[in-house]
Amino acid sequence: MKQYSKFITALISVISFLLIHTACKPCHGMMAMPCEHSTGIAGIVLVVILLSDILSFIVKHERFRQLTSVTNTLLGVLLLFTPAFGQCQVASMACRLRTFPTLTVSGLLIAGISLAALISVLVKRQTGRKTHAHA
Amino acid sequence: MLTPNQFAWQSILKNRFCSLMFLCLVGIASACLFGVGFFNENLSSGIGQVKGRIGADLIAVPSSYDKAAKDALFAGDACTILFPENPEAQISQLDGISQVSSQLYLKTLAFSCCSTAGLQLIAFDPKTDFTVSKWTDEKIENLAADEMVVGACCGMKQGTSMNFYGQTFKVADVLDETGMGYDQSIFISYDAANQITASPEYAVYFGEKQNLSSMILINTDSGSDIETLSKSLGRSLNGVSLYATDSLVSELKSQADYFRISGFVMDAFVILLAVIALFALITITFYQRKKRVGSLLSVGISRGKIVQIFFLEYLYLTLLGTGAGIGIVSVFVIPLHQIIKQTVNMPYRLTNFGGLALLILAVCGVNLLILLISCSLTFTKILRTEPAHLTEEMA
Repeated sequence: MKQYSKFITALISVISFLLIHTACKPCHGMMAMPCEHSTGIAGIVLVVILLSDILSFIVKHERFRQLTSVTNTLLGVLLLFTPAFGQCQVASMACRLRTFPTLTVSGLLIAGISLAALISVLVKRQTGRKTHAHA
Repeated sequence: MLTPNQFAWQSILKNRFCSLMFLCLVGIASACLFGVGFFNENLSSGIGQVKGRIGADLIAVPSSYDKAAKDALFAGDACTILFPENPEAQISQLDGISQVSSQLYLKTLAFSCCSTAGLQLIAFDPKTDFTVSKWTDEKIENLAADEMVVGACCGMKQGTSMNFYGQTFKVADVLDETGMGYDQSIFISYDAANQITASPEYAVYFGEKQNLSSMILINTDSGSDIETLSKSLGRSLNGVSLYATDSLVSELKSQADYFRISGFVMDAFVILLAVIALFALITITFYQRKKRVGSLLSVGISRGKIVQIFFLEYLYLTLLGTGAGIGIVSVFVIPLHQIIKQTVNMPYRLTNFGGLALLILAVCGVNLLILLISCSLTFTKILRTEPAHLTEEMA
Protein backbone atom coordinates (compact mmCIF):
# COMPACT_ATOMS: atom_id res chain seq x y z
CA MET A 1 0.00 0.00 0.00
CA LYS A 2 2.76 2.41 1.03
CA GLN A 3 4.80 1.99 -2.15
CA TYR A 4 1.71 1.98 -4.39
CA SER A 5 0.53 5.18 -2.73
CA LYS A 6 3.90 6.86 -3.32
CA PHE A 7 3.83 5.83 -6.97
CA ILE A 8 0.26 7.12 -7.42
CA THR A 9 0.90 10.47 -5.66
CA ALA A 10 4.10 10.90 -7.71
CA LEU A 11 2.10 10.26 -10.89
CA ILE A 12 -0.66 12.70 -9.84
CA SER A 13 1.89 15.42 -9.03
CA VAL A 14 3.63 14.98 -12.43
CA ILE A 15 0.31 15.07 -14.34
CA SER A 16 -0.92 18.09 -12.36
CA PHE A 17 2.37 19.92 -12.87
CA LEU A 18 2.16 19.32 -16.62
CA LEU A 19 -1.54 20.32 -16.72
CA ILE A 20 -1.08 23.65 -14.93
CA HIS A 21 1.65 24.52 -17.41
CA THR A 22 -0.22 23.41 -20.55
CA ALA A 23 -3.98 22.77 -20.87
CA CYS A 24 -4.94 24.30 -17.52
CA LYS A 25 -2.48 27.17 -17.33
CA PRO A 26 -3.57 30.34 -15.53
CA CYS A 27 -4.50 33.69 -17.08
CA HIS A 28 -1.72 35.66 -18.71
CA GLY A 29 -1.91 39.39 -19.18
CA MET A 30 0.34 42.33 -19.93
CA MET A 31 1.23 42.52 -16.26
CA ALA A 32 2.03 39.71 -13.83
CA MET A 33 -1.30 38.39 -12.57
CA PRO A 34 -1.94 37.15 -9.02
CA CYS A 35 -3.02 33.72 -10.27
CA GLU A 36 0.35 33.24 -12.01
CA HIS A 37 2.04 33.81 -8.66
CA SER A 38 -0.16 31.25 -6.84
CA THR A 39 0.23 28.73 -9.68
CA GLY A 40 4.01 29.13 -9.29
CA ILE A 41 3.66 28.26 -5.60
CA ALA A 42 1.47 25.25 -6.48
CA GLY A 43 4.14 24.14 -8.99
CA ILE A 44 6.80 24.23 -6.24
CA VAL A 45 4.51 22.22 -3.90
CA LEU A 46 3.96 19.59 -6.61
CA VAL A 47 7.73 19.32 -7.22
CA VAL A 48 8.32 18.89 -3.45
CA ILE A 49 5.69 16.10 -3.36
CA LEU A 50 7.37 14.39 -6.32
CA LEU A 51 10.85 14.68 -4.73
CA SER A 52 9.62 13.30 -1.39
CA ASP A 53 8.05 10.34 -3.22
CA ILE A 54 11.26 9.66 -5.14
CA LEU A 55 13.28 9.90 -1.91
CA SER A 56 10.96 7.47 -0.15
CA PHE A 57 11.63 4.96 -2.94
CA ILE A 58 15.38 5.37 -2.40
CA VAL A 59 15.53 5.67 1.41
CA LYS A 60 14.10 2.41 2.72
CA HIS A 61 13.63 3.61 6.27
CA GLU A 62 10.17 3.08 7.78
CA ARG A 63 10.19 6.31 9.80
CA PHE A 64 11.20 8.36 6.75
CA ARG A 65 8.37 6.84 4.68
CA GLN A 66 5.85 7.70 7.37
CA LEU A 67 7.23 11.22 7.53
CA THR A 68 6.81 11.62 3.75
CA SER A 69 3.20 10.39 4.06
CA VAL A 70 2.55 13.08 6.67
CA THR A 71 4.24 15.82 4.61
CA ASN A 72 2.43 14.73 1.43
CA THR A 73 -0.92 14.89 3.26
CA LEU A 74 -0.14 18.42 4.47
CA LEU A 75 1.15 19.52 1.05
CA GLY A 76 -1.99 18.07 -0.57
CA VAL A 77 -4.10 20.19 1.79
CA LEU A 78 -1.88 23.20 0.97
CA LEU A 79 -2.73 22.73 -2.73
CA LEU A 80 -6.41 23.29 -1.85
CA PHE A 81 -5.52 26.69 -0.45
CA THR A 82 -3.35 27.97 -3.34
CA PRO A 83 -6.07 30.41 -4.51
CA ALA A 84 -5.49 32.22 -1.19
CA PHE A 85 -2.09 33.36 -2.59
CA GLY A 86 -3.89 35.28 -5.33
CA GLN A 87 -6.54 34.69 -7.96
CA CYS A 88 -8.46 36.63 -10.60
CA GLN A 89 -11.63 38.41 -9.55
CA VAL A 90 -14.02 36.90 -12.11
CA ALA A 91 -15.02 33.23 -11.90
CA SER A 92 -15.02 32.75 -15.67
CA MET A 93 -11.27 33.51 -15.96
CA ALA A 94 -9.03 30.59 -16.97
CA CYS A 95 -7.38 30.32 -13.55
CA ARG A 96 -10.67 29.90 -11.67
CA LEU A 97 -12.22 27.76 -14.38
CA ARG A 98 -9.33 25.33 -14.94
CA THR A 99 -6.12 25.87 -12.94
CA PHE A 100 -7.50 25.98 -9.39
CA PRO A 101 -10.11 23.22 -9.88
CA THR A 102 -7.29 21.01 -11.27
CA LEU A 103 -5.18 21.81 -8.21
CA THR A 104 -8.18 21.12 -5.94
CA VAL A 105 -8.69 17.68 -7.51
CA SER A 106 -4.98 16.78 -7.30
CA GLY A 107 -4.73 18.18 -3.74
CA LEU A 108 -7.71 16.10 -2.58
CA LEU A 109 -6.35 12.96 -4.26
CA ILE A 110 -2.79 13.41 -2.92
CA ALA A 111 -3.99 14.21 0.62
CA GLY A 112 -6.54 11.36 0.58
CA ILE A 113 -4.12 8.72 -0.73
CA SER A 114 -1.28 9.78 1.61
CA LEU A 115 -3.64 9.79 4.59
CA ALA A 116 -5.01 6.35 3.66
CA ALA A 117 -1.41 5.02 3.39
CA LEU A 118 -0.54 6.50 6.78
CA ILE A 119 -3.65 5.03 8.43
CA SER A 120 -2.97 1.62 6.86
CA VAL A 121 0.60 1.64 8.28
CA LEU A 122 -0.66 2.65 11.73
CA VAL A 123 -3.43 -0.01 11.70
CA LYS A 124 -0.92 -2.64 10.56
CA ARG A 125 1.47 -1.66 13.33
CA GLN A 126 -1.33 -1.73 15.92
CA THR A 127 -2.47 -5.19 14.74
CA GLY A 128 1.16 -6.38 14.80
CA ARG A 129 1.57 -5.16 18.37
CA LYS A 130 -1.62 -6.90 19.49
CA THR A 131 -0.57 -10.19 17.84
CA HIS A 132 2.89 -9.88 19.40
CA ALA A 133 1.41 -9.20 22.87
CA HIS A 134 -1.02 -12.10 22.44
CA ALA A 135 1.84 -14.45 21.49
CA MET B 1 -14.02 -15.18 21.89
CA LEU B 2 -14.30 -13.40 18.56
CA THR B 3 -17.57 -11.62 17.80
CA PRO B 4 -19.06 -11.91 14.25
CA ASN B 5 -17.94 -8.32 13.75
CA GLN B 6 -14.29 -9.05 14.60
CA PHE B 7 -14.44 -12.28 12.60
CA ALA B 8 -15.61 -10.32 9.54
CA TRP B 9 -12.83 -7.72 9.85
CA GLN B 10 -10.24 -10.47 10.31
CA SER B 11 -11.45 -12.19 7.13
CA ILE B 12 -11.23 -8.87 5.23
CA LEU B 13 -7.64 -8.25 6.38
CA LYS B 14 -6.57 -11.87 5.92
CA ASN B 15 -7.85 -12.21 2.33
CA ARG B 16 -6.49 -8.86 1.16
CA PHE B 17 -6.46 -9.59 -2.55
CA CYS B 18 -10.07 -10.82 -2.63
CA SER B 19 -11.16 -7.90 -0.44
CA LEU B 20 -9.38 -5.43 -2.74
CA MET B 21 -11.01 -6.94 -5.84
CA PHE B 22 -14.44 -6.80 -4.17
CA LEU B 23 -13.80 -3.20 -3.14
CA CYS B 24 -12.73 -2.25 -6.69
CA LEU B 25 -15.81 -3.88 -8.26
CA VAL B 26 -18.23 -2.18 -5.88
CA GLY B 27 -16.28 1.09 -6.16
CA ILE B 28 -16.42 1.12 -9.98
CA ALA B 29 -20.13 0.21 -10.00
CA SER B 30 -20.88 2.95 -7.44
CA ALA B 31 -18.81 5.50 -9.34
CA CYS B 32 -20.75 4.76 -12.55
CA LEU B 33 -24.17 4.79 -10.87
CA PHE B 34 -23.44 7.93 -8.86
CA GLY B 35 -21.66 9.75 -11.71
CA VAL B 36 -24.47 9.17 -14.21
CA GLY B 37 -27.16 9.94 -11.63
CA PHE B 38 -25.42 13.11 -10.45
CA PHE B 39 -24.95 14.40 -14.00
CA ASN B 40 -28.63 13.78 -14.86
CA GLU B 41 -29.78 15.38 -11.59
CA ASN B 42 -27.70 18.48 -12.34
CA LEU B 43 -29.10 18.70 -15.88
CA SER B 44 -32.68 18.35 -14.61
CA SER B 45 -32.00 20.96 -11.94
CA GLY B 46 -30.73 23.39 -14.59
CA ILE B 47 -33.49 22.75 -17.15
CA GLY B 48 -36.21 22.90 -14.50
CA GLN B 49 -35.31 26.53 -13.92
CA VAL B 50 -35.22 27.71 -17.55
CA LYS B 51 -38.89 28.61 -18.07
CA GLY B 52 -39.10 30.50 -14.79
CA ARG B 53 -35.77 32.25 -15.27
CA ILE B 54 -36.34 33.49 -18.81
CA GLY B 55 -39.73 34.68 -17.62
CA ALA B 56 -40.92 35.59 -21.13
CA ASP B 57 -43.22 33.77 -23.56
CA LEU B 58 -41.24 34.76 -26.65
CA ILE B 59 -37.67 35.83 -27.38
CA ALA B 60 -36.72 37.83 -30.47
CA VAL B 61 -33.07 37.89 -31.64
CA PRO B 62 -31.40 39.00 -34.89
CA SER B 63 -31.52 36.09 -37.39
CA SER B 64 -27.79 36.22 -38.03
CA TYR B 65 -27.03 35.72 -34.31
CA ASP B 66 -29.22 32.64 -33.64
CA LYS B 67 -26.41 30.39 -32.43
CA ALA B 68 -24.56 33.13 -30.55
CA ALA B 69 -27.77 34.04 -28.67
CA LYS B 70 -28.44 30.41 -27.67
CA ASP B 71 -24.81 29.94 -26.55
CA ALA B 72 -24.95 33.14 -24.50
CA LEU B 73 -28.30 32.18 -22.97
CA PHE B 74 -27.53 28.57 -22.05
CA ALA B 75 -23.73 28.17 -21.96
CA GLY B 76 -22.68 31.69 -20.98
CA ASP B 77 -20.38 32.16 -24.01
CA ALA B 78 -19.79 35.91 -24.15
CA CYS B 79 -20.75 37.67 -27.38
CA THR B 80 -21.91 41.01 -28.76
CA ILE B 81 -25.30 40.86 -30.50
CA LEU B 82 -26.86 43.83 -32.25
CA PHE B 83 -30.16 44.41 -34.09
CA PRO B 84 -29.60 46.74 -37.07
CA GLU B 85 -32.68 48.64 -35.80
CA ASN B 86 -34.27 48.18 -32.39
CA PRO B 87 -37.69 46.53 -33.09
CA GLU B 88 -39.03 47.04 -29.54
CA ALA B 89 -41.45 49.85 -30.43
CA GLN B 90 -42.75 47.94 -33.48
CA ILE B 91 -43.36 44.78 -31.42
CA SER B 92 -45.07 46.57 -28.54
CA GLN B 93 -47.69 48.04 -30.91
CA LEU B 94 -48.85 44.61 -32.14
CA ASP B 95 -52.03 42.97 -30.84
CA GLY B 96 -51.77 40.27 -28.18
CA ILE B 97 -48.55 41.64 -26.64
CA SER B 98 -48.70 42.60 -22.98
CA GLN B 99 -45.06 43.30 -22.00
CA VAL B 100 -41.89 44.02 -23.98
CA SER B 101 -38.38 44.56 -22.64
CA SER B 102 -35.09 45.00 -24.48
CA GLN B 103 -31.73 43.59 -23.47
CA LEU B 104 -28.34 44.47 -24.96
CA TYR B 105 -25.58 41.82 -25.00
CA LEU B 106 -22.02 43.17 -25.02
CA LYS B 107 -18.78 41.25 -24.74
CA THR B 108 -16.21 43.19 -22.74
CA LEU B 109 -12.95 44.13 -24.40
CA ALA B 110 -9.38 44.50 -23.11
CA PHE B 111 -8.26 48.03 -23.95
CA SER B 112 -5.87 48.38 -21.06
CA CYS B 113 -4.62 46.50 -18.03
CA CYS B 114 -7.54 47.88 -16.01
CA SER B 115 -10.33 46.58 -18.28
CA THR B 116 -11.62 43.06 -17.78
CA ALA B 117 -12.10 41.29 -21.10
CA GLY B 118 -14.24 38.40 -22.33
CA LEU B 119 -17.20 38.85 -19.97
CA GLN B 120 -20.86 39.01 -20.90
CA LEU B 121 -22.44 42.36 -20.11
CA ILE B 122 -26.24 42.45 -20.37
CA ALA B 123 -27.91 45.82 -20.31
CA PHE B 124 -31.55 45.84 -19.24
CA ASP B 125 -34.08 48.55 -18.63
CA PRO B 126 -35.09 48.33 -14.95
CA LYS B 127 -38.32 50.21 -15.76
CA THR B 128 -39.68 47.72 -18.32
CA ASP B 129 -37.82 44.62 -17.06
CA PHE B 130 -39.90 41.62 -16.00
CA THR B 131 -37.18 38.94 -15.87
CA VAL B 132 -33.94 39.97 -14.09
CA SER B 133 -35.80 41.52 -11.15
CA LYS B 134 -37.46 38.14 -10.49
CA TRP B 135 -34.12 36.50 -9.68
CA THR B 136 -33.39 38.62 -6.65
CA ASP B 137 -35.16 39.67 -3.47
CA GLU B 138 -33.53 43.12 -3.66
CA LYS B 139 -35.21 45.92 -5.59
CA ILE B 140 -33.14 46.73 -8.66
CA GLU B 141 -35.50 49.21 -10.30
CA ASN B 142 -33.23 52.10 -9.32
CA LEU B 143 -29.98 50.58 -10.54
CA ALA B 144 -27.53 53.49 -10.97
CA ALA B 145 -25.37 53.93 -14.09
CA ASP B 146 -22.24 52.98 -12.13
CA GLU B 147 -23.79 49.89 -10.53
CA MET B 148 -24.07 46.30 -11.74
CA VAL B 149 -25.89 43.15 -10.73
CA VAL B 150 -23.83 39.97 -11.17
CA GLY B 151 -24.74 36.33 -11.83
CA ALA B 152 -24.25 33.71 -9.11
CA CYS B 153 -21.14 32.16 -10.74
CA CYS B 154 -19.27 35.42 -11.44
CA GLY B 155 -17.41 34.99 -8.16
CA MET B 156 -17.93 38.61 -7.10
CA LYS B 157 -19.32 39.91 -3.85
CA GLN B 158 -21.55 42.88 -3.14
CA GLY B 159 -19.48 46.06 -3.01
CA THR B 160 -16.59 44.95 -5.25
CA SER B 161 -15.71 47.11 -8.25
CA MET B 162 -14.67 46.28 -11.78
CA ASN B 163 -13.73 48.18 -14.91
CA PHE B 164 -15.44 47.63 -18.30
CA TYR B 165 -15.25 49.85 -21.38
CA GLY B 166 -13.31 52.41 -19.33
CA GLN B 167 -16.03 52.73 -16.67
CA THR B 168 -15.95 51.46 -13.11
CA PHE B 169 -18.99 49.52 -11.90
CA LYS B 170 -19.79 48.51 -8.34
CA VAL B 171 -21.65 45.25 -7.51
CA ALA B 172 -25.10 46.21 -6.17
CA ASP B 173 -26.48 42.69 -5.90
CA VAL B 174 -25.71 39.04 -6.65
CA LEU B 175 -28.46 37.02 -8.37
CA ASP B 176 -29.62 33.53 -7.41
CA GLU B 177 -28.12 30.65 -9.41
CA THR B 178 -30.06 29.79 -12.59
CA GLY B 179 -27.88 27.09 -14.20
CA MET B 180 -27.97 29.16 -17.41
CA GLY B 181 -25.56 31.58 -19.07
CA TYR B 182 -27.00 34.33 -16.86
CA ASP B 183 -24.89 32.94 -13.98
CA GLN B 184 -21.70 34.16 -15.69
CA SER B 185 -23.23 37.44 -16.89
CA ILE B 186 -23.06 40.96 -15.52
CA PHE B 187 -26.18 43.12 -15.67
CA ILE B 188 -26.02 46.89 -16.06
CA SER B 189 -28.70 49.50 -16.70
CA TYR B 190 -29.51 50.80 -20.18
CA ASP B 191 -28.30 54.26 -19.05
CA ALA B 192 -24.82 52.83 -18.47
CA ALA B 193 -24.94 50.91 -21.76
CA ASN B 194 -25.99 54.05 -23.63
CA GLN B 195 -22.96 55.89 -22.23
CA ILE B 196 -20.74 53.14 -23.67
CA THR B 197 -22.43 52.79 -27.07
CA ALA B 198 -22.74 56.56 -27.61
CA SER B 199 -19.11 57.17 -26.67
CA PRO B 200 -16.88 58.32 -29.58
CA GLU B 201 -14.15 56.06 -28.14
CA TYR B 202 -16.15 52.97 -29.22
CA ALA B 203 -17.64 54.46 -32.38
CA VAL B 204 -16.03 51.75 -34.46
CA TYR B 205 -18.09 49.11 -32.60
CA PHE B 206 -21.39 50.88 -31.91
CA GLY B 207 -21.44 53.90 -34.22
CA GLU B 208 -22.08 56.33 -31.35
CA LYS B 209 -25.71 55.10 -31.17
CA GLN B 210 -28.01 54.85 -28.17
CA ASN B 211 -30.75 52.33 -27.26
CA LEU B 212 -29.20 49.48 -29.22
CA SER B 213 -30.79 46.10 -28.67
CA SER B 214 -29.79 42.43 -28.88
CA MET B 215 -32.79 40.55 -27.56
CA ILE B 216 -36.44 41.46 -27.07
CA LEU B 217 -38.27 39.59 -24.32
CA ILE B 218 -42.00 39.41 -25.01
CA ASN B 219 -44.92 38.44 -22.78
CA THR B 220 -48.23 37.76 -24.47
CA ASP B 221 -51.77 38.48 -23.30
CA SER B 222 -53.21 35.64 -21.24
CA GLY B 223 -55.65 34.49 -23.95
CA SER B 224 -53.21 34.67 -26.89
CA ASP B 225 -51.97 31.62 -28.73
CA ILE B 226 -48.15 31.90 -28.59
CA GLU B 227 -47.54 29.86 -31.75
CA THR B 228 -49.95 31.95 -33.86
CA LEU B 229 -48.57 35.17 -32.43
CA SER B 230 -45.01 34.04 -33.10
CA LYS B 231 -45.88 33.34 -36.76
CA SER B 232 -47.59 36.69 -37.25
CA LEU B 233 -44.66 38.49 -35.60
CA GLY B 234 -42.23 36.62 -37.84
CA ARG B 235 -44.16 37.81 -40.91
CA SER B 236 -44.18 41.44 -39.83
CA LEU B 237 -40.51 41.64 -38.72
CA ASN B 238 -37.61 41.20 -41.11
CA GLY B 239 -34.32 39.64 -40.01
CA VAL B 240 -35.73 38.59 -36.66
CA SER B 241 -35.80 35.04 -35.26
CA LEU B 242 -38.51 34.29 -32.72
CA TYR B 243 -38.35 31.53 -30.14
CA ALA B 244 -41.16 30.39 -27.89
CA THR B 245 -39.74 29.67 -24.44
CA ASP B 246 -41.92 26.55 -24.15
CA SER B 247 -40.47 25.05 -27.32
CA LEU B 248 -36.91 25.95 -26.17
CA VAL B 249 -37.60 24.17 -22.87
CA SER B 250 -39.09 21.10 -24.57
CA GLU B 251 -36.07 20.98 -26.94
CA LEU B 252 -33.75 21.04 -23.89
CA LYS B 253 -35.87 18.43 -22.13
CA SER B 254 -35.65 16.06 -25.10
CA GLN B 255 -31.84 16.48 -25.10
CA ALA B 256 -31.79 15.77 -21.35
CA ASP B 257 -33.99 12.69 -21.93
CA TYR B 258 -31.42 11.40 -24.41
CA PHE B 259 -28.72 11.70 -21.72
CA ARG B 260 -31.06 10.08 -19.17
CA ILE B 261 -31.85 7.07 -21.40
CA SER B 262 -28.15 6.60 -22.31
CA GLY B 263 -27.30 6.76 -18.61
CA PHE B 264 -30.04 4.25 -17.77
CA VAL B 265 -28.71 1.76 -20.35
CA MET B 266 -25.17 2.21 -19.01
CA ASP B 267 -26.37 1.74 -15.42
CA ALA B 268 -28.22 -1.44 -16.39
CA PHE B 269 -25.05 -2.94 -17.91
CA VAL B 270 -22.95 -1.88 -14.91
CA ILE B 271 -25.43 -3.49 -12.47
CA LEU B 272 -25.54 -6.69 -14.54
CA LEU B 273 -21.72 -6.90 -14.72
CA ALA B 274 -21.40 -6.15 -11.00
CA VAL B 275 -23.93 -8.87 -10.09
CA ILE B 276 -22.13 -11.47 -12.25
CA ALA B 277 -18.64 -10.51 -11.02
CA LEU B 278 -19.61 -10.33 -7.32
CA PHE B 279 -21.65 -13.54 -7.54
CA ALA B 280 -18.60 -15.32 -8.99
CA LEU B 281 -16.22 -13.82 -6.42
CA ILE B 282 -18.44 -14.63 -3.41
CA THR B 283 -19.19 -18.17 -4.64
CA ILE B 284 -15.51 -18.95 -5.32
CA THR B 285 -14.56 -17.56 -1.90
CA PHE B 286 -17.25 -19.74 -0.28
CA TYR B 287 -15.91 -22.87 -1.97
CA GLN B 288 -12.41 -21.95 -0.75
CA ARG B 289 -13.76 -21.60 2.80
CA LYS B 290 -16.09 -24.60 2.69
CA LYS B 291 -14.03 -26.62 5.15
CA ARG B 292 -13.82 -23.69 7.54
CA VAL B 293 -17.61 -23.24 7.44
CA GLY B 294 -18.05 -27.00 8.02
CA SER B 295 -15.69 -26.86 11.01
CA LEU B 296 -17.58 -23.91 12.49
CA LEU B 297 -20.87 -25.81 12.12
CA SER B 298 -19.30 -28.92 13.66
CA VAL B 299 -18.23 -27.03 16.79
CA GLY B 300 -21.82 -25.83 17.29
CA ILE B 301 -21.83 -22.34 15.83
CA SER B 302 -25.30 -21.72 14.43
CA ARG B 303 -25.90 -21.39 10.69
CA GLY B 304 -27.40 -17.94 11.28
CA LYS B 305 -24.19 -16.77 12.94
CA ILE B 306 -22.06 -18.02 10.02
CA VAL B 307 -24.35 -16.29 7.52
CA GLN B 308 -24.03 -13.17 9.67
CA ILE B 309 -20.20 -13.37 9.56
CA PHE B 310 -20.22 -13.74 5.76
CA PHE B 311 -22.81 -10.99 5.35
CA LEU B 312 -20.99 -8.55 7.64
CA GLU B 313 -17.72 -9.10 5.76
CA TYR B 314 -19.32 -8.29 2.41
CA LEU B 315 -21.47 -5.52 3.88
CA TYR B 316 -18.41 -3.67 5.20
CA LEU B 317 -16.66 -4.07 1.85
CA THR B 318 -19.77 -2.88 -0.01
CA LEU B 319 -20.12 0.19 2.19
CA LEU B 320 -16.40 1.00 1.86
CA GLY B 321 -16.52 0.51 -1.91
CA THR B 322 -19.66 2.64 -2.24
CA GLY B 323 -18.05 5.41 -0.19
CA ALA B 324 -14.85 5.23 -2.26
CA GLY B 325 -16.73 5.29 -5.59
CA ILE B 326 -18.93 8.22 -4.60
CA GLY B 327 -15.94 10.04 -3.07
CA ILE B 328 -13.76 9.69 -6.17
CA VAL B 329 -16.54 10.91 -8.50
CA SER B 330 -17.28 13.84 -6.17
CA VAL B 331 -13.58 14.80 -6.06
CA PHE B 332 -13.64 15.22 -9.85
CA VAL B 333 -17.20 16.34 -10.63
CA ILE B 334 -17.76 19.00 -7.95
CA PRO B 335 -14.57 21.09 -8.44
CA LEU B 336 -14.77 20.75 -12.24
CA HIS B 337 -18.51 21.45 -12.60
CA GLN B 338 -17.98 24.76 -14.42
CA ILE B 339 -15.95 22.98 -17.12
CA ILE B 340 -18.65 20.29 -17.40
CA LYS B 341 -21.28 23.04 -17.68
CA GLN B 342 -19.40 24.65 -20.57
CA THR B 343 -18.87 21.29 -22.26
CA VAL B 344 -22.52 20.14 -22.22
CA ASN B 345 -23.69 23.52 -23.54
CA MET B 346 -26.99 23.15 -21.69
CA PRO B 347 -28.41 24.57 -18.46
CA TYR B 348 -26.51 22.74 -15.71
CA ARG B 349 -26.77 23.47 -12.01
CA LEU B 350 -25.42 21.54 -9.04
CA THR B 351 -28.35 19.80 -7.40
CA ASN B 352 -29.28 20.71 -3.84
CA PHE B 353 -28.21 18.77 -0.74
CA GLY B 354 -31.54 16.90 -0.52
CA GLY B 355 -31.22 15.64 -4.09
CA LEU B 356 -27.62 14.60 -3.47
CA ALA B 357 -28.51 12.74 -0.26
CA LEU B 358 -31.34 10.90 -2.05
CA LEU B 359 -28.97 9.92 -4.87
CA ILE B 360 -26.38 8.60 -2.38
CA LEU B 361 -29.12 6.58 -0.62
CA ALA B 362 -30.29 5.21 -3.98
CA VAL B 363 -26.72 4.11 -4.90
CA CYS B 364 -26.33 2.46 -1.45
CA GLY B 365 -29.70 0.73 -1.93
CA VAL B 366 -28.79 -0.59 -5.39
CA ASN B 367 -25.41 -1.84 -4.09
CA LEU B 368 -27.07 -3.63 -1.16
CA LEU B 369 -29.49 -5.26 -3.59
CA ILE B 370 -26.55 -6.33 -5.79
CA LEU B 371 -24.88 -7.76 -2.69
CA LEU B 372 -28.00 -9.71 -1.62
CA ILE B 373 -28.44 -11.20 -5.11
CA SER B 374 -24.73 -12.09 -5.28
CA CYS B 375 -24.75 -13.71 -1.81
CA SER B 376 -27.95 -15.70 -2.37
CA LEU B 377 -26.33 -18.97 -3.51
CA THR B 378 -23.66 -18.87 -0.81
CA PHE B 379 -26.23 -18.30 1.94
CA THR B 380 -28.47 -21.08 0.60
CA LYS B 381 -25.50 -23.48 0.62
CA ILE B 382 -24.59 -22.54 4.20
CA LEU B 383 -28.18 -22.92 5.38
CA ARG B 384 -28.91 -26.20 3.59
CA THR B 385 -25.68 -28.24 3.31
CA GLU B 386 -24.75 -30.73 5.98
CA PRO B 387 -21.50 -29.98 7.93
CA ALA B 388 -20.06 -33.34 6.86
CA HIS B 389 -20.49 -32.40 3.20
CA LEU B 390 -18.85 -29.06 3.80
CA THR B 391 -15.83 -30.58 5.53
CA GLU B 392 -15.74 -33.12 2.66
CA GLU B 393 -15.87 -36.05 5.01
CA MET B 394 -18.75 -37.48 2.98
CA ALA B 395 -18.78 -37.89 -0.77
